[in-house]
Amino acid sequence: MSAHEQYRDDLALYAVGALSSEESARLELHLAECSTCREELNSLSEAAAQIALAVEPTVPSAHFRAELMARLEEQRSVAVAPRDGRLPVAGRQYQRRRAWFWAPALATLAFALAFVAVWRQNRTLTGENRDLAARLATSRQTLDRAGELIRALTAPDAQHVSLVAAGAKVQPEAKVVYSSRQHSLVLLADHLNPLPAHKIYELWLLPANGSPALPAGTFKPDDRGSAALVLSQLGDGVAAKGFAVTVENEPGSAVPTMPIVLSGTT
Amino acid sequence: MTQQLSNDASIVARLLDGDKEGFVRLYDEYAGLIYGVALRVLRNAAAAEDVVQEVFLQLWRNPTSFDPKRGRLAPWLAVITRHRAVDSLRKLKFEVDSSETPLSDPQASHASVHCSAESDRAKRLMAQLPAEQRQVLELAFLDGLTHVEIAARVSQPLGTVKSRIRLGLLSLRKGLSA
Repeated sequence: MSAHEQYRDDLALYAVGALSSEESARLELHLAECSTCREELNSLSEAAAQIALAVEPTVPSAHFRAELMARLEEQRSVAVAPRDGRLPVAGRQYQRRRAWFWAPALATLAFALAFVAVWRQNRTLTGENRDLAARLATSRQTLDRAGELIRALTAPDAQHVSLVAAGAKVQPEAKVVYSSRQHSLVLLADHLNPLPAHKIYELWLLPANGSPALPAGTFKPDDRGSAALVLSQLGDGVAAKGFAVTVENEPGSAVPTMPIVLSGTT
Repeated sequence: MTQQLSNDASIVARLLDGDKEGFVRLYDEYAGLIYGVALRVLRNAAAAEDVVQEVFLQLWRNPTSFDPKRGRLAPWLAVITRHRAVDSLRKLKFEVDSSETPLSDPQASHASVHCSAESDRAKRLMAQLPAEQRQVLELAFLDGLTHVEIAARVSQPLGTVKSRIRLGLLSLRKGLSA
């Protein structure tokens, strides 16, 4: 039996989504370090796509088509600027490379755009209804608070203090807050080991649907071992079952390289 | 124009430019495939329409989520639609009995769609599989069941189910390369 044969059945089950979440997570750990199995999975996944392609096509109603096209106009008017600065989870390499560097600026930009959208909408309506003026104020306060939070998290002088049991040895740690619906992610890490030259930490999103791990941003610790990563226009709303951090060559990798230095499940 | 759009890379380029006409043509070319898959998985017209909307708006907002270098658009759309539909199925916890629930949407039609060549080949490959292999593949991929759930559904040992899934996929792969 070859070294990969023990994964033979699991790869086929994974390709059709028939493994449990726990089984998928175990296989993903192996996939992260085994290019042979990744190639096998890619080809099995292509075969699995035939199952869906074989389904009888059904054209949606004309009414649905019209509604979608109308929705498109709304998306376009609101989303033009974020589209240009979007940081897809699994996007082009150059976009991911810039994620860490531009994260605070993009977060600020996103909030500014959101504020402008809310403000414009409310400006039209305030003349018609006083209640909307109150909503504008509330929205403004919410955005201000969010902006303050982002600035505090990413400030150069922000102090990150981890509280542990007295006497316990301090270990590298990170906390991720992720909202697939809001397309936003915040990572705060502390006590990270210094990186060798030309290396960088990379965060991986482990999709809940069992798809391969997706790159979710890169970061470097400061001289105190702390790092923060804030992404406000992240990917396509992929549901996550966990996150992992690996050390990669700069500027980052498309697939994780073992070992995993930090990991956690939702 | 249809010929031009059949080039997946040009579709992405047009969407990146915010070309609405390109999007409309993309919709007309692939809506049948996407809605068909979503409807098959969810067996509910409204829920399937939600999935269709999500898939198209994702592509509109983020065209680079599809990379033409890594494969063709039709299989990619079929797979992401399947993933979203199965996620939705699990969230909504639909209690579905596949033998009793109708698949039809009275307002939809089975009118011709442009990606029929890939669809026809896939149908042919699936039809060539032994019925027991086709059944477990569909229960996994289209009904979102795990291998344990499939074993219970078809009253077969786990090993048999695993073997059928693997053999079925290998046959599909062989057919693709033929």
